[in-house]
Amino acid sequence: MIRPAVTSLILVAVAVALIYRAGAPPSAGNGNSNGSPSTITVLCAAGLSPVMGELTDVFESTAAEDSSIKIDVSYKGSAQLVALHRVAQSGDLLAAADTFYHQPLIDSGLCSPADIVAYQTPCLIVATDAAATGSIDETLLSGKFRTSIPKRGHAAIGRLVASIEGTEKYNSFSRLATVTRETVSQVAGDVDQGVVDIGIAWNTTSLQFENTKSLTVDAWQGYRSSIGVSVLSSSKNVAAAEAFKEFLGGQRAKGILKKHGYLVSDGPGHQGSVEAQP
Amino acid sequence: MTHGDRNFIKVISVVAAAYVGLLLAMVLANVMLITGDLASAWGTLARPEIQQAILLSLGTSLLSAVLSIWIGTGIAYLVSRERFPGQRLVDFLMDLPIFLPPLVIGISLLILFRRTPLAALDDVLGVAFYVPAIVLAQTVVGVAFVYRTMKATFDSMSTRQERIAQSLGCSRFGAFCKITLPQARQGLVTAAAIAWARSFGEFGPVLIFAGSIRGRTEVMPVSIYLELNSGNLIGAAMIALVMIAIAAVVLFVARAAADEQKISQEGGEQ
Repeated sequence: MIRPAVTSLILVAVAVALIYRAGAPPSAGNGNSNGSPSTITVLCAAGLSPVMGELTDVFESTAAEDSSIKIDVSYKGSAQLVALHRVAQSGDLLAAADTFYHQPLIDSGLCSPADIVAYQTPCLIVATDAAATGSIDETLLSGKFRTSIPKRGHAAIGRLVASIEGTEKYNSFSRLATVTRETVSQVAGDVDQGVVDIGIAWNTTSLQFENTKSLTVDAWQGYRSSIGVSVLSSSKNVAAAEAFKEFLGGQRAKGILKKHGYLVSDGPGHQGSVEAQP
Repeated sequence: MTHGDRNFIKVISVVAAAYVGLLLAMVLANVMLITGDLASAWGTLARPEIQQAILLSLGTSLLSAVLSIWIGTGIAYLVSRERFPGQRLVDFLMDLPIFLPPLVIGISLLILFRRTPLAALDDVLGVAFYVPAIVLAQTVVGVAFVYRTMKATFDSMSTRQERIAQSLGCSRFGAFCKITLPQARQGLVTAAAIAWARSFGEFGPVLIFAGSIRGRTEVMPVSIYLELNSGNLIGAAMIALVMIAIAAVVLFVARAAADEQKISQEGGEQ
């Protein structure tokens, strides 16, 4: 018995050393009273991960020099973020792909009204060398192309395009699709990997995937999704969450968002309506 | 060997060759993709958050495997050797994590820790969305696999030597340590390898209960998910290859340890 116990203790010590070496905080705790950085957690739409990664890096390295705020980001699909937050009620800030997703939490008193920080527009996404046009009838309904369609109930892009084209027509896209997906990143991944010829995505998505390009659809011109940021009522560090939210609405963040293809208004951030409209 | 026997062997050989070929082709497909852009693949591995994820994966899976072995072996011994009310129910419940979809375990743990009176404790201890959540999610599944392996091992072992030891004055605990465990070593090595492998590759429960938080709860399967979401297929394939390599090394060591046990046991019997 001594040998297995000693072996186990050695293995546990190795495991703890590895976890410690990884640098992950072992459990919750907001520092700053002793000079350590206070950490806030942002619940962020998975499709925003490249731009959010850069925004948090810039914020941590420059904007928060005095306040030493550290940002942890949890990435999932917007619908999943909201559903899980209803259960967990943990985290400081919500950045969903559309202000639509904030509304149920606002109604339940789980977050503050969303400040819109950027917009993105729907388009078709194809391989860089594809000859497809932006005509929906030719691409999504002809059956000539393999297509990847975001699910209406899961992805913000699916919800928006269904509201433009009508539910019945969107259901036809889904029926004729090679595959339907939960997130826009999965759709773009399908196109990027050559699994399908064409998909529905945001104008910003193709910039993240090397082998893809966007095709504008005339009927979708002028429609957009509003990316909003809200402070969650579960936040234990509201001041830090507000500071990051303010940074996201500032000029420096707008420059980064523009670089990633997002549309931003030149004025200060404003509180958004629920429906994305032209 | 009859003509029918030869045909039977031929058919299962073809099936085996096809399956092994598929496994090798899957690994090769990752390698081929990566060799097309080695700089990008190495660049992904060089990123601090990915290195953190590798260390965190190794640390949490090792810790979970040790916990799973202790808990699972104890319960397996109890159910195998004792008769008590509700024994069949315990046996049934221990199998549940194996049969349940992994996401069910994740969401159930999250509800337990965030929507019940346990939430107050969680607020203080910080389990959900932190490293303990990874270990807990991995261990819940790992214990079930250890239990199933060790129960089969204990069931197949004769209790004669244990009883003789006890009749000679050895305590039950002493008989367990000196007789049962040494005899069950091969099963223990197998159970440990399975528990570690399950923990190392655990994704669904970790994603839900621990979140996919970079630098905090990002283990290697979560890294693959996050890299795919940001369009870095080559990076995702590179992390997958590292996982395959680590798993292969651990499997090799476990098999070598099991073979050594077998040889020493056979030597002892002779």
